[in-house]
Amino acid sequence: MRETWHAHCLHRLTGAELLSGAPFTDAVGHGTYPVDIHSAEGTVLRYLDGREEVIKPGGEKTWQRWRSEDDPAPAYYQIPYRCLVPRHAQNVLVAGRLLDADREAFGGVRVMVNCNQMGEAAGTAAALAVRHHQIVAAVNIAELQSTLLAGGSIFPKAAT
Amino acid sequence: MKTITETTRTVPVIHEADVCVLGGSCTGLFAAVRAARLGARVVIVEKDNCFGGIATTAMVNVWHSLWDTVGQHQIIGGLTEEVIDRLDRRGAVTRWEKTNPNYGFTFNSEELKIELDELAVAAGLKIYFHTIFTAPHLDDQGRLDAVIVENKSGRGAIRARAFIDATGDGDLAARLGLETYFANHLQPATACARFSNWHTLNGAGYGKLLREHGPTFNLPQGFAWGVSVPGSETYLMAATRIYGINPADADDLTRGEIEGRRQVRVIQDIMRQHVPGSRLALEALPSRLGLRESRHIRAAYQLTGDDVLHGAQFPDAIAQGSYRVDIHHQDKPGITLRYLDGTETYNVPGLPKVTTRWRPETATNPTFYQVPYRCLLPRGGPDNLIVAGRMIDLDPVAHAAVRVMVNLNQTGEAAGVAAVLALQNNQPFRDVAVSRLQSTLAEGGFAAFFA
Repeated sequence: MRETWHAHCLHRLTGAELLSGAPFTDAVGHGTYPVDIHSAEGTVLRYLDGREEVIKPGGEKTWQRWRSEDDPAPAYYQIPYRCLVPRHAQNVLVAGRLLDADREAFGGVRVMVNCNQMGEAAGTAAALAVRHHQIVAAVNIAELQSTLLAGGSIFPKAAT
Repeated sequence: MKTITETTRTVPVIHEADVCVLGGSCTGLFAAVRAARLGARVVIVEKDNCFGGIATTAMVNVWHSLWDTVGQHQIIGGLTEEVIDRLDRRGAVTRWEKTNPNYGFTFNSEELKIELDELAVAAGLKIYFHTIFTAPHLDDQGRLDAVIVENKSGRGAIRARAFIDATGDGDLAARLGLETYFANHLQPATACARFSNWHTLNGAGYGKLLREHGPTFNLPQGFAWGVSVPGSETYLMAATRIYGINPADADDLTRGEIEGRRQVRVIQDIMRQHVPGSRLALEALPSRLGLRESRHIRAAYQLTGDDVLHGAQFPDAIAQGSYRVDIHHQDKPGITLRYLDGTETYNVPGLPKVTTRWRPETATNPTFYQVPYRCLLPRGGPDNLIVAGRMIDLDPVAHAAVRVMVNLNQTGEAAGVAAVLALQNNQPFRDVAVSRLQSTLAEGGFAAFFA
């Protein structure tokens, strides 16, 4: 299954944010996998460097650009914690393919190396919320990120 | 134990049928297909993503002989034979000699999944995969009216006129509060595994290797069996033994799955370390443990080991078998095999087989045994419930023989046909005319063996 329900969360990750590598102060995950949208007409892969690959159902591949070569190209994108916090949630987080993301952003974040990080972030955030008797939306982001870092997660310099 | 009280709620009736089958192993599916072929509207509920149960999800790819012990008479037919023929057309089955008690047929479990899909769809079944039975629902008269199920769409009720519990663990019967029991020594479970590059072991005797090096890795001295998957270069191995698992207990099952996979890795590591040049690679693990025994349901008759070993004939026979009594021990290594001809062997991997007799020699021996219809009729249960599969009423020795798939498949077919006859005549299951049940089973491809 590539896609199923999404939760309505405090933030919906958009394709524009993903493809521009928008920085988020509450980033809990990072990814590079291209926007990869499967449909009956074939597969379209949109890369962060501005290239676009179209694969027809027969396997024929064509390359074009979705963004000019002159525009800046991010090396990765970020996933904010708010995409995992359902609206009005007290003690519930979501993680994995049901995060709040629009169709285009989801085409990139849906792969396992990305979803795995959401699981680690949600588990860590849940432990912090329980420890501090807080609702999930009130979890201290700096503490969440430093705890993830201490547990082996990577926060690239530019993102912090 | 702390408790919470669930809120009473109204659930939608998601499906209505004549016959509802819980459990999609070959037992359950064959029950459903036989009922549907007689014109019933049938719904089948399966917790996994495919049919076949132990034969597919546990990867146990062997069905035993359809012939009596001497290969003179075919004693099993019906959908088991039909499915074997279907697999044969795919090049996905190997036929062994009729009298070989270790193998009748070995097959490709993945091909079987697809054959069973086709069988179910062609029979017009309403299929619910990824759906788990949660509770029975009785009407005002105490009649079993519906079962509550849960799946990704939510909670819902399936209403039917007759119900077949083919859950393996007797979940429906148990939750109805019917009388159930467990054997004192449940047979241990086994996690199978499929390997590639088996040929790089160059025929090294794995029984001996596992016996020598298993203890270092806390690998029980259990049993070891394996076979090539027909039409492939894959080897199926069943050499793990998980003790003390009650399949009807959630914590036991969880622990058992983890322990089974740990033992598979141990086996792989022993082979790699001790066979020079071995390139053994783990290719597939089962989606559930191979469970030999679980909860039994107290029924109108309990088949005994004496019945089986002496080939007792029953006027209400609905299944026949020739597989020997095969006891995997909880309390010691190895297995004990007790044959209808009076011989008994004790087999431990890597050691010579010990042959004795469990009874003196006689001029003639029984060549098959029978399972009576009464073993499927729960004592004190609702009129419209029947059970089929490993939970039928069997003492531990009878269970050790009847438990294999070619036998239990027949209990499913009998339950499916009985359901249709009960509904046609507006009768409780216990009042179904046995002669009619047997003749209808025979018309559906059973060998004509009930005379």
